[in-house]
Amino acid sequence: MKTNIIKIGLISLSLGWFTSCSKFLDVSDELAGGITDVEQVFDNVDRTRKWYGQVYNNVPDYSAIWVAGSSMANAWAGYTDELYHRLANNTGKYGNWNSSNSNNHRWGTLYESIRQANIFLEKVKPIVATGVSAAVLTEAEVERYKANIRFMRAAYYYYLMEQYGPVPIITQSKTLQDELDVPRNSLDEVINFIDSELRGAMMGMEQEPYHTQLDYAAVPTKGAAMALRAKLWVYAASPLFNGGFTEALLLANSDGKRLFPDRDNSKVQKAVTALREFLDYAEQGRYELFKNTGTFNPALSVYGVFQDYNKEIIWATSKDAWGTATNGAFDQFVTPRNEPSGLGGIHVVQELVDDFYMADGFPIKNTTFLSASPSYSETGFGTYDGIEVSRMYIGREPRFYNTITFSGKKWHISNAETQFYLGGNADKTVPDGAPITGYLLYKRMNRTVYGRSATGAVTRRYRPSIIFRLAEFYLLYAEMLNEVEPGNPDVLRYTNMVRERAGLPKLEDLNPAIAGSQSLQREAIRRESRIELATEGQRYFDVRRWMIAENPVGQGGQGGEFTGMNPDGNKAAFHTRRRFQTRYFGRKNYLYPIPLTEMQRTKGMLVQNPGWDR
Amino acid sequence: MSNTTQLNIDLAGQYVNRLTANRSPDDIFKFMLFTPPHLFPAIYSDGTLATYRIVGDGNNRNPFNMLYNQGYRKEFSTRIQSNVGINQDLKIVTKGLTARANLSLDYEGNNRTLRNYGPSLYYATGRDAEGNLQFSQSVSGNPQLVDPVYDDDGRDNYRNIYMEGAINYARTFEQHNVGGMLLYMQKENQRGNDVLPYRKQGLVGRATYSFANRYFIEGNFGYTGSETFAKGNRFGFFPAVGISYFVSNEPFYPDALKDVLYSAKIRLSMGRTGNDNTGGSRFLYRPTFVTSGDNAYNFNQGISTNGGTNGLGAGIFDQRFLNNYIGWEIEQKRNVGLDLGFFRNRIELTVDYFNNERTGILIQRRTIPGSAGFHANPWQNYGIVHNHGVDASLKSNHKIGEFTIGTRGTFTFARNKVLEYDELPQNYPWMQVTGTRVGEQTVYIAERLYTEDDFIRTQNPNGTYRYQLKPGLPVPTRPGNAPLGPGDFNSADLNNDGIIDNNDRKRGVGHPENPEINYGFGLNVDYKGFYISVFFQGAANTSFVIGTEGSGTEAYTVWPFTWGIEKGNYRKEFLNRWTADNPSQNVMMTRLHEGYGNNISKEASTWWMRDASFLRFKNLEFGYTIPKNTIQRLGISGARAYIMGYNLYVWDKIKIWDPEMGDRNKGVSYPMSRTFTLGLEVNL
Repeated sequence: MKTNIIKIGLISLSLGWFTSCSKFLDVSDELAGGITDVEQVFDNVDRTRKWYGQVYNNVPDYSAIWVAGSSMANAWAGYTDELYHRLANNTGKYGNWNSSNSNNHRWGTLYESIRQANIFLEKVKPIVATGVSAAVLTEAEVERYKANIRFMRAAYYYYLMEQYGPVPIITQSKTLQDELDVPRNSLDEVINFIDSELRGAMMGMEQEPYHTQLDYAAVPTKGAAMALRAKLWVYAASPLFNGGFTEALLLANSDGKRLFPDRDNSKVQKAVTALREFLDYAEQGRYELFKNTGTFNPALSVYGVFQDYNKEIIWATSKDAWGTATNGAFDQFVTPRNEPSGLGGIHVVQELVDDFYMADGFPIKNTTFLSASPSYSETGFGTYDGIEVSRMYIGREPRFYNTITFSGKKWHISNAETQFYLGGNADKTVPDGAPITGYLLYKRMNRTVYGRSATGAVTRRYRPSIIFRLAEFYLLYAEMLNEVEPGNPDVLRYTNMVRERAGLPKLEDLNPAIAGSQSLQREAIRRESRIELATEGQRYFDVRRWMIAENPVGQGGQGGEFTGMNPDGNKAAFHTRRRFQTRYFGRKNYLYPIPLTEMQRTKGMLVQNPGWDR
Repeated sequence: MSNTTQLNIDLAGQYVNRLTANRSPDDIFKFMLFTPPHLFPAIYSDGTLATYRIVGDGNNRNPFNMLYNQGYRKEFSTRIQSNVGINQDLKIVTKGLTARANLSLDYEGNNRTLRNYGPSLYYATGRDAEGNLQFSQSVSGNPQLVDPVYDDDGRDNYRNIYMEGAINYARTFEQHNVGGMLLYMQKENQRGNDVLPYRKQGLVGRATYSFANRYFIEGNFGYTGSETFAKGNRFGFFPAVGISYFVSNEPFYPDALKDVLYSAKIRLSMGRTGNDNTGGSRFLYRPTFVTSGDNAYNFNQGISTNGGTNGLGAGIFDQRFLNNYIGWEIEQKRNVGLDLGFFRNRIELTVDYFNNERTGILIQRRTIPGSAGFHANPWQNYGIVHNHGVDASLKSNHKIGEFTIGTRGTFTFARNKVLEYDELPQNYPWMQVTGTRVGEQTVYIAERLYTEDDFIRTQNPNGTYRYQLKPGLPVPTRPGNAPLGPGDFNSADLNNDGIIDNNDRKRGVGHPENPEINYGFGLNVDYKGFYISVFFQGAANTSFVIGTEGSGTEAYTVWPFTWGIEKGNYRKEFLNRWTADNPSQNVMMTRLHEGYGNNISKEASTWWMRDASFLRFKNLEFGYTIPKNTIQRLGISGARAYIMGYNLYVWDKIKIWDPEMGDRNKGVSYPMSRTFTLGLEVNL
């Protein structure tokens, strides 16, 4: 009897186990929480939106100057003839670097964003309300989102092109079963792809700027797409990408396909047309150069454009990296050491200081297009803002005072003089943030941000981080138009609009010979954009697309001896130029190398840019 | 239960209750090694509890207090093993057929309670006029033991369920031996904080045939499923086949030869086995999605006067993507063996040569182009490792008069080679992993110690010296600009670029830590009830690097003063060191530094690499078995008295700790113990 019970028990126990046999290994089925399949993202409104938002992860942030290796931040201002800072120095980019230097590469991270965008475009669909969820994704929202994502994907390809030239175009999300080792597309293919994507996307994007709907002000609109398309053709028409980089003309994939096209003059006209289309759109009251309210004041205008959202902004990101007066970001590193919490680390090179005009609109030394201003002198001292400063800093244009902290300039709130000379209150004896060049960056600093509580002071002040603003496109239009039609009065008209906002006279009033002269206008426009867009992340790429980066330092050159003031000198001896750094520029530096790891991963499909060893 | 049915029920249980010091022996031993003995005594002569003058962090401790004055802990562990089996003879169906089923359930539970004690601790500052010690209080504590608390860190539960059912067939038809088996099994185990159990399920089959005890053939297979793979790819098929030939059983085998080579058998086998261990992460085929953290971007669609607004929330993106193809790692095994018996099997020798190849080793791919845009390198069955070697054992038995002498020895040599690692081309060939052995050391090549001649010396105002390498000498990259001077070691600049950096670390210096050669040998001698037995064990072709790396209390603890002048490893071996007065190259320790962060010589290099081969006198037993006729009168069936020693001596080249404790800083923990046992065994 007893044994029978045991037997039955055993048998039933075994049966119990055997019946569950077929499901015995389905252990992971219990891991059903969270997302287990990409379809679960696109069946859900909230998740779809979050996937969509993630695509914007790599929107460039030009406020991020105090950075080292980041890809989509503004490391560029530190790498070009504008700034010097310690973090930029740490990346090794001032020297002769090679393709194993992994700093600032956009390759990996942008292709991740492109995959994110591809999956979105493949999977997104309208979602109807169900009994348990009232959330809805309408057909119209889907179309809007898709248009925005096509724009972002095109923008990411543009940012890849800006850095590497031609790159592989990938429009479908891949798995391990796909061919992953793909060659670079030709530059024309990349340009035409971006162009057609932007043309397609802009129809579905918001047609008007969000100037009055600030809750969407960081979402790109038709204006951003038109602007990007115009800039794309400017690059396509510029020497670097338009037959001027002779070494690159020989570059071919392993199947013999050439990557860089020969010179094609029609591209310049295309750029002019695209810019004109954008400006026609902009000038219907959609975008305008920022000017202060009340009586026009150039100094307040060139300051104010960066302080609050305004109608000059075509595209801005909602990210920003200004930080606070005390948290180790931009604001603290532009504050001199003598001010509370100041870490004074973002230094302006003398070459940029010298390129600002005088208030009379003339440069400080003779140029091809303008002669030196009679009011400029480098000897002795004068009075600026009640302080005795070198005469170098007297009578300069408003953008100079908005961009540069020089020895003798008064800091806001404290009203204290900043002294970089030996024996001064912010001299080289401070351990970090000592004056390297004798200047700090001031542009885009807010004049209420202060490291200590004081009347009228705050420790944090938000400012939009601008990607595109109208002034840049005025200058691009002038530049391109000058290349096809130098006699067109618009060339100077658009340049002068930017000058006028900065309080400077018209170019042709200063030198009538400029008008209609292609070469003089070209020089004048390049100088204007260097000043107007200083440290906004454009100069690095501009000197490359113009192919002037191999010139001597001071004429667009990026290699050679860079100078600043002499921090070893007392107040009298400080104001002499002194070499502080020698930078390297070789023709290979016109384009970034494909990252070495990518060259190691490819089985001969990817070819390296000219001049890079491997 | 009947003539043909047999039921087994086995139950075993163990309940252990341990009372120990609050800190683990390992922990206490570590602090014994790196607390300098001159700072304070174990306990002051008047009974006052001693410690550092300032207890700045948890690493300033007096090991004596850890042992005696920190309270205690109680550990409880319960182990239950149960097995129910049933055997059924199925001779009613056909002779030789049997069936069995087994179910076993094991459980182990470990729990721990702590009773903490933290009394006040003092540091003696001097003596008063009467000679009494004067103290400053370093730690203000509680003179009472506190209430016991349950220690979550000590919780460790384990369960294991195994079930199988099998049908066996074994029968002899004259000279033919036939056997067969088919088995179904499933098992499940879960340990500690595993959320989900590990499971396996499979079918095993075997067929054997032999003829006249001369020709043997066996085939078997396993068809095994693992829970860790995707449905449809869970099962692996692992067949194997073996043949053997007992030459000496042949009728033609000459008797004359039999006097020497008494028995001889040749074996050949090949087959496949599988491994489903995916390392730390389970269910690698499943996609993962990132929905939070720094990289999940909250897209603020709006811009207000105070920053971004109208955010969509943390972004979502795919990390690891669905890969249902992930499956078993396969090992292809090939084996040739010889079993030989000499002199009536007084000497028996077995030798095997094996040649195996593991393919489909699960690795994270390295060569996937970035343009694919994957957020994580995908996993794939991709790696290949080859492994071959020799296994041998030798046994002998002799009787010389009253002496019985037995010897035994084993020897294994195995060498592997990484054939596929999906490696990116390294900067230099000496950095390559492919083609080397698994676990090879990657180290700097220490050439010599720097001497005064290598530097330009300048004197600081405070009298100390500053050293700057002479131009032309390769410059080492140093963590945090660590000072460099004479007595630090100088590494070879393998690529001659003037800088000593990661590119100058060579893979494949010495041997991997896992020994390639393992061996053992022993001897037994019996004489009239007295017996002695010894056993030696050894390993060779193994290297390791002492010091370097590690984290927490194991970080660089090998060196003196590695945590500042009050903490480090205080072994007398380090007295053999480089000093300015005795700038010898032939020393163990490089120039002393205070704090490991400032020690340029801490890098893993040939300076710290040691040959880790050893020979251990593992066992010695000496005893006397009392003759039966002597003791049976006492009503005892057998008795034996013996003395046994374990881990008696080790011949090695590490010297400062036992080579079997391991590399890096593992020697700074509880050592291997030597034990002696005196025993009397009485059987009633």
